[in-house]
Amino acid sequence: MTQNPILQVQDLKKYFPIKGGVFGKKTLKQVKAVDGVSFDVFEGETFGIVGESGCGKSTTGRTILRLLEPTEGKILFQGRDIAELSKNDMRKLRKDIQIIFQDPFASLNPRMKIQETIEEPLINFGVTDRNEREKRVLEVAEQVGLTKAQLSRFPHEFSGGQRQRIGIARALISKPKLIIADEPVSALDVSIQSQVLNLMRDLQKEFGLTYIFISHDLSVVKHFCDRIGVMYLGKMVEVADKNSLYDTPLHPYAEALLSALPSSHPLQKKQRIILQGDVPSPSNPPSGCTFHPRCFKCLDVCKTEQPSLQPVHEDHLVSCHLYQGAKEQIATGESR
Amino acid sequence: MVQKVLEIDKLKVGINDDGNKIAIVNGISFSLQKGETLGIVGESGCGKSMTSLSLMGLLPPGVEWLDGDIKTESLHFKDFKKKDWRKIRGKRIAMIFQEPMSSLNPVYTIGKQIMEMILSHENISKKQARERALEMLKLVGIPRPEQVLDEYPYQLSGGMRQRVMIAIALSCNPEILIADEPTTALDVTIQAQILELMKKLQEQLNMSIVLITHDLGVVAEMCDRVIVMYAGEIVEEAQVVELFDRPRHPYTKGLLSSLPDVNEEKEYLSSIPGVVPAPGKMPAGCRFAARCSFAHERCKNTPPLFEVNGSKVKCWLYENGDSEAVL
Repeated sequence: MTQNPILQVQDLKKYFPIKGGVFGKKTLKQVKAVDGVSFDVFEGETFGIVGESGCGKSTTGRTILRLLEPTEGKILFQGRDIAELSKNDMRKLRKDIQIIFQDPFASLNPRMKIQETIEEPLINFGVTDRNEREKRVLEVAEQVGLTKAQLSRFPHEFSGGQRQRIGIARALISKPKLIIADEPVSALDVSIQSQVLNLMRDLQKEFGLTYIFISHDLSVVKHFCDRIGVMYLGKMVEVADKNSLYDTPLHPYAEALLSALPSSHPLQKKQRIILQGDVPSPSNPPSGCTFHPRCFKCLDVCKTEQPSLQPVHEDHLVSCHLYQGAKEQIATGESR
Repeated sequence: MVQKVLEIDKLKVGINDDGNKIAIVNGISFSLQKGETLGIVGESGCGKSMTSLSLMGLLPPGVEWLDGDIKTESLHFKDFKKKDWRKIRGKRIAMIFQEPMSSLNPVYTIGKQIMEMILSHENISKKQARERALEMLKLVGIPRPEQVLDEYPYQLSGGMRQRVMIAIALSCNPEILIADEPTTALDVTIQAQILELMKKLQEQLNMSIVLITHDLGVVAEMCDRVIVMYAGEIVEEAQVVELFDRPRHPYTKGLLSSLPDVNEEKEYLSSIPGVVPAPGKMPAGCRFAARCSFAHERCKNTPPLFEVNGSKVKCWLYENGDSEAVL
């Protein structure tokens, strides 16, 4: 793998205002859906983002594509800051960055034939020759395993797995470099889920695609991704290579999350860390480290000071006071 | 000595379209023992939810009880009138649903909803019922139960709502709890909390649980015995360890191996080709044959459930026990 970041996200923030007051124009509060997230995605890899509902993983994905306008921060795609681009330039750039959505039922227009759905991006990106478009559609359809006869049908005639194939074909037709896959297999049954994951892997090999794979399913992420970022309440709490994350999770949240994973065999008994309470509301996050009220390793400093994402080993970043200064200790040969 | 609390006998449930009967659940039989957790797994459309709804007499409009019976020692559910169902529901068999969001009434307080269940089954005063409701909330581990009693569902998180659902279900000490995908809508850390709670309560109250799920991880975690359903039929029934160690039916095998495993590195997942046939368009013979890599001439005839070393498998490969099968 070449270590060329295709995408660099730096201190990305997305706040949603809660409006109130007599005319509903006053901003009462802000929901900090994404609050200062930074990560790099390298060419040809699959970067996974995991976290529980409401942690901001989907908002992150959508903000990168500017389907939601970022509040602050930089999104460098091949060195170019796409947060700065005009709407028109952004539209052109979407040729290179595409998205696959979670719900294969809601993300296809029920009144458009599959042919039209898959073809639409080409029209958007100015391919005027009808014959060429048709040729491309056929080509992509074949790559994702759809037959020519199916192209003239409507979405309701397809099962969930096939619809997800259509969604993938639509994303693929503009020959993108980066595909953001937002929970692409969560709505599918396991036997179909594995079909779609295998297809996505084949396509990655064939076209050298880079994926950002957003999911809440820890075993799917482990299977599919190369590096993984764990999000909690709008923040990236740990970023690491998948093996070092699953073997030695450092952040207490990541540790608890991985231990909560159901075992894959009835006799495999796991030492489980049961977290107390629920995820707090992002409109009113706790002070200091946002995880501290649920943390089983909480220190005094965690209640007041926000930790920052720091490398503990090479390629293993964590945002936790337990490890602040760990790097210096590693450098001086002390172990924790 | 094992004691059967419920026996399902050739249950057939389906749509009656002008005399043209389409079975969604096609003649399944199984029993539930005292104190055990029985898992029913399968993919969407396999009939697992319809099975659970028929145990409660809650089949949706348009879906009918076509044939077969559900029995306890003294009762035959088939002959039940509405009034009889009401006596059973909540009292002997209780159910928790997948969506804790939509299964609570948004305009009543939590306390009222628990009391409703208690008052409809037991002859006690409102005050006593309220006390019992408070006890239930404490039992399921809800923080500050006194306040929650007077709160509305929207004020609680998903995990807390599922706890309330469990409190309602258990408020009359049922013998059987049916849990239809109880943790599917919840996050993993919350799922772990709820599963832990269910295990604890089962031990405390010695009830039987029927756990319906598509998640084999939850099955491994919770169940004693498992039934695998495919296209409205039971294809395999086994003790949980046996099922994970020696899955027999090709469908079960396919299902287990298409799961990504965090302890194992694989480039590609194995998958089952094709899709589940639609009800009404079921092929003759074995319903899995079209997707099965072991399909054979004899699969054109429907296989019975063969008994193999304590398991049951609906597949011709096991006609002579394990001998012929490639395990």
